[in-house]
Amino acid sequence: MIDKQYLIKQLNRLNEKVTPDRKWKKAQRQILLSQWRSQVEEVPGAFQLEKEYAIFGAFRWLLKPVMMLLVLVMGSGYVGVWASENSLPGDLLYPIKITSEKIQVKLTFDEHKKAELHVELAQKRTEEIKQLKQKETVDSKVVKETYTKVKEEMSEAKNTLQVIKDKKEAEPENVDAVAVLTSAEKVDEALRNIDESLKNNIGGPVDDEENQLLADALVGVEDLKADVTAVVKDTVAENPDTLANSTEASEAVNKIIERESQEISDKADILSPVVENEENDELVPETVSEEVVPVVETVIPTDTSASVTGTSTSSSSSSATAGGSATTSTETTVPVETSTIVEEQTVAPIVNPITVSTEIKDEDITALVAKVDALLKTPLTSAQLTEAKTLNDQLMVMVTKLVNAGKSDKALLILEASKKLLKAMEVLVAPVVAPVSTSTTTVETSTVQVNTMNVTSTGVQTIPGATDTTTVQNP
Amino acid sequence: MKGINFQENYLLFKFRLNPSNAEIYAELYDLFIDKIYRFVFFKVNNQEEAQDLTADVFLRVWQYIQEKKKVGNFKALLYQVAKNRVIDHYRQKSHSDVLTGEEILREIEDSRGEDFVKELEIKSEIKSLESFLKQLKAEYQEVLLLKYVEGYSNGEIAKILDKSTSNVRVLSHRALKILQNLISEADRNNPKYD
Repeated sequence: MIDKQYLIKQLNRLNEKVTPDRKWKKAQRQILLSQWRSQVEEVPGAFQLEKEYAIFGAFRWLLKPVMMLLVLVMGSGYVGVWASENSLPGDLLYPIKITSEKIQVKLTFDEHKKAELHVELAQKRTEEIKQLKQKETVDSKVVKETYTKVKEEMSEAKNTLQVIKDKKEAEPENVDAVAVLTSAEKVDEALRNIDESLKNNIGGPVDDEENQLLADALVGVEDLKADVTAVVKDTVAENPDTLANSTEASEAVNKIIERESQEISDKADILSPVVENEENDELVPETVSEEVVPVVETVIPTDTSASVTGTSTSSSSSSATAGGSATTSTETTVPVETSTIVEEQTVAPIVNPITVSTEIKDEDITALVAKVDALLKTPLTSAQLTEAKTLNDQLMVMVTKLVNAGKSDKALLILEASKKLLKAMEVLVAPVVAPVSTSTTTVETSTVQVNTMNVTSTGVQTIPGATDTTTVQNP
Repeated sequence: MKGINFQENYLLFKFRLNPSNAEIYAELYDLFIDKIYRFVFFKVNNQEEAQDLTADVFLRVWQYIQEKKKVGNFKALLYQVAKNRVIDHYRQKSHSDVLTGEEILREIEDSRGEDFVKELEIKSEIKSLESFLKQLKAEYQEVLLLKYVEGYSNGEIAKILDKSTSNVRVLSHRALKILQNLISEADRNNPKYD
């Protein structure tokens, strides 16, 4: 006879074992939702009012203490909320601030607005950390708690982004691309502000734990930024007409691209002095010809095409930077190399005189991306750093050109390639950069960032796979 | 459990005030879809049927609420519609392709080999437990599912199945006993299907 308790336990387990297919569930939800919606004629104004009324009602019946607080906050306490606006963690009024924010989140139904709000709140928290650090006496526990809140808000934002993504997948035809893009722009901006204020905290982290929290937060920012960029890229790719039809959307995308390319150039600039140093270290003591040969060989093909793309807009001054920086960076080190490059440059227009026009060819773009891929096929070596830097400069020039030409969708592709390149460069150079850079805290955390980034990204990838196998238990 | 109940009550309250709000209903869908799917799943033969019927249940309940403009006991409504929907489904379908309990068992055994039921008692594979549940009378199956799988209280089950609380208590006790016997018997009869 089978044991009764055992049987009950087995029955309990059915709860997890017999579940509908997740994809079906999601898809079905969208189908049903559109059917339900179509059966109800919505009056937008009244709809919103009703929603809010429903929440008040619910609080009154179900959460009396919260309702009281709400009355306090909304009614007589309104001044209190206003006063609490400038309070810091640990202050008497701070809990009121947090509560009013939570209510604000609860009252936000639109997913895009919600994502914006969460990131905004994360930004508020980082600014609070900054202010706390400026105070003479700081309770490090409070600081750490605030760091945790930053992290929470960001993971909420990440979840909301996931919801947006899921909805987009399930119902691609109902996507409001303009809303997605403008919202992504706001989130992106807030994330960059967070990044900046985290990195510029006065005094820096006081102990290991705080250092870890800071590193985690930075990883979170980086992660979320990647998510936002992915959403933007997908949205632009899936809704090709949006950029052309809506100035609002294209402005938003351009802003993101501008910031992104600014960041990439800045990072590349931090990396570039190292490039020169390394070459000096390697080349000067050795006999020049031995060491240079491989470098030159790898440089030549890229430079040929650099001048090809350069000549395509030879009249515009911006193109000069690509070729220019390449030559100057090598000029200081090895004169032999410079001469070969100059030679190549003079040869190039003769080799390919057809591309002399301001129009950007699709082939040029794919060629550039292919070059990045080719370079990254094997782990980047220090010998290839110059090449990588030059290639990155070319990419940046291309981005500027594409944005000016109104081809932001293509610019996004280039940016993606450039980010990959930069990451490879960072991995290679990071240990070397540390003593060179002026602010040690930023660099330290950025290296931590790179390492943990890899860990988290693989971690995230494995988890869905694992859940997938457990849910596909149905006959 | 308490958290879920709060969420459930809160959502239902919102919905009561706003029976035409598709967004709130979608949240209720999220909350109940797994439960209703399970409820239907044990009454039909395969995943596809369960999926179709479950989706239909949510649509019908929505239409019903839109007509009446009143929510009532939402949970009970969902389960009752699910029950009726399954009955309709079998009416529409010819009964020929519905397997009897014994046939299901034999089918599984064929695919698994002779040691199946022995294995069952050792490992008690969830899948086979499913097949035994499917053999039970609807009444027993429902009570077991709601009580032990979903974790509802007797009072809640009474409302959902439109019975008295004491009736539910007796039923759940009896149902468990029958399931127990069924599994033991299958074990004893195992050599028969060699």
